[in-house]
Amino acid sequence: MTEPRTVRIVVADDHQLVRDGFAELLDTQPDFTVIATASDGAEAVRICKELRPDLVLMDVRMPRMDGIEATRQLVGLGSEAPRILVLTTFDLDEHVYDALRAGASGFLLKDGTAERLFDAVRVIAAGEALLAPGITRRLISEFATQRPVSPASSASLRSLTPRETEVLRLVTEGLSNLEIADRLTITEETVKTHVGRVLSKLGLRDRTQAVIAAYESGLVVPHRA
Amino acid sequence: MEASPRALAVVGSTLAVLGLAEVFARAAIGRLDVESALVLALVVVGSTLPMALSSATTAALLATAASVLSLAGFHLLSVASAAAVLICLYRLGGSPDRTRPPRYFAIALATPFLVLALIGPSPPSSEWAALTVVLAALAPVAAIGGIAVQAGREVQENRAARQVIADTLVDHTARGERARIARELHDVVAHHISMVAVQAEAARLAVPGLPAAGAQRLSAIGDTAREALVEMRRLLGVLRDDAGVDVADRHPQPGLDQVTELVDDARESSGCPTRLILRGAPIALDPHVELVAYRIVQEALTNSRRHAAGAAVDVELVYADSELRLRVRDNGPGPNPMAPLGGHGLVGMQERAFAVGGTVRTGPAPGGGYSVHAVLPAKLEDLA
Repeated sequence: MTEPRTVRIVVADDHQLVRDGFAELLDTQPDFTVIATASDGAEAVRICKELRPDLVLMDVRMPRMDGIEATRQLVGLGSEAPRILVLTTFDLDEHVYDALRAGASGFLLKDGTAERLFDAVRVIAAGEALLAPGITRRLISEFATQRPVSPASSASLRSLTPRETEVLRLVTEGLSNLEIADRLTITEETVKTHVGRVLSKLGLRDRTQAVIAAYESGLVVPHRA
Repeated sequence: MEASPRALAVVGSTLAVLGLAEVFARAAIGRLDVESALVLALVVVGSTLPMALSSATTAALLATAASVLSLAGFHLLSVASAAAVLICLYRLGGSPDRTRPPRYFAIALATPFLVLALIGPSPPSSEWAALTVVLAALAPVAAIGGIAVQAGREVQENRAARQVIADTLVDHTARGERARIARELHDVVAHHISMVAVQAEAARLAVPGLPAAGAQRLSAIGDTAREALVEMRRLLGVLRDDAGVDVADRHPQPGLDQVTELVDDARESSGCPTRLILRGAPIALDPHVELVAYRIVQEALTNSRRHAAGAAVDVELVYADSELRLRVRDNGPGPNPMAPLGGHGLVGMQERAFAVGGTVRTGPAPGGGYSVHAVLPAKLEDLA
């Protein structure tokens, strides 16, 4: 499960305590290396274009350019773009939702334990599962329903085969590839193929975007009123 | 400021008496013959007593009719009757009745006297002439005077009502403003506490050569900061609700009723089988005890989620004698021998239980997994 090479990380936060603290923590792990820190969104984008990290820890609120705009710009780099893990103090933050929609892969509370931080970085870097599926789904379902359903996403959903729609639904429930393989009694490899096809058919970056698309298109309806 | 019926009755009767006295005096000094005296007496009664009637319109109508008839037909009027007419017209003009417009009717009732004054008496009599002219002048004044006073009263009432509305609006805005300020303060405080947590973690892991005791303490500091943030997030929910709404604390301290919610939340967010088992007849517990029980379940569930992700969890509440026995058990990997002791909010659980006279035991569960076992007294009076 561990990556053969180390995950190259950039930490972007306007508070030095957070930058230094997280950098120190991450550097204690053999599979991580922090290559740079940034104190606002613009600096983060510049550094990422130059150094091409694998993952960026991005604070949502920063001066000059905030985490949402920086995410948007980084995602625009296409296949060269790093994965983005959003940092926040509040768990039901609409800004976090906006960052997810802009292309971030997951979010993390700043006050979590070190173990949680390491786990989050590994999950996002691997891309096999949603990070903190329960909380992420709750956030998405809370805010997705406040936005109007976009007809474009409903249309592209129809291009999925029944099996692919089934896989998408299970991804939206927060299941990892392994869990989906168990549920549908197929191999993990097959699940990965299906997920890959779903993402490319819908033009989505990762599973988090798939969950957002599912809620926003109305494919999945939150059951908590 | 409508005159009371009793006052009107008194004034009316007094004027009647005065008027009759006047008639009698005039008749006595030979200025009035018997017929005229009788007519005048009737007019006096007919113009003064109606004042006591509850309807201002009828009173004014009768007083005016009696006086006009007397002036036009008999060229006679007593001073008392004149006074009565003026009083009735003033009262009619100032009546607060809005359903019919009686006020302007008062002005109408003043006009016959003007007409009479203009037409002139026949035969002319200086006393008659003087009284008619005076009445013609004063009647409209009385009517308009009444109208003016009532109008002034209404302006006063409107002003008072507008003030009350303005005050309420200011109060409402102030409350909304306070809620906004409270939210901002909350954000600032939450940020600082977050920093404490980050620092504690960084120190715990990244300081070289830190002894185990130090790591333990830092772990406890981090846990406390995280607990504080959980409470702050709940506070933020209350502040969001409160912005602009006058509401007493809508989020009372949780008790055992809310444990079902905790279990549901845990089941939903972890996706693992989580059961709530109740045994024994539920008895009423001291609210402090209920709160402690809730917090213990909350902490235990959080720990299970964190350290035994994917494991099934049982939350068992047993009501027995005068105590509540509470057990949260998971079938995960069990306690980590490498983990620093005293972290993970266990100290907090023990302190809470101790504060209400109960006990908490944590450790490996028989058959594998981790177990949190608490025994709490039902009532605080059971403390020695």
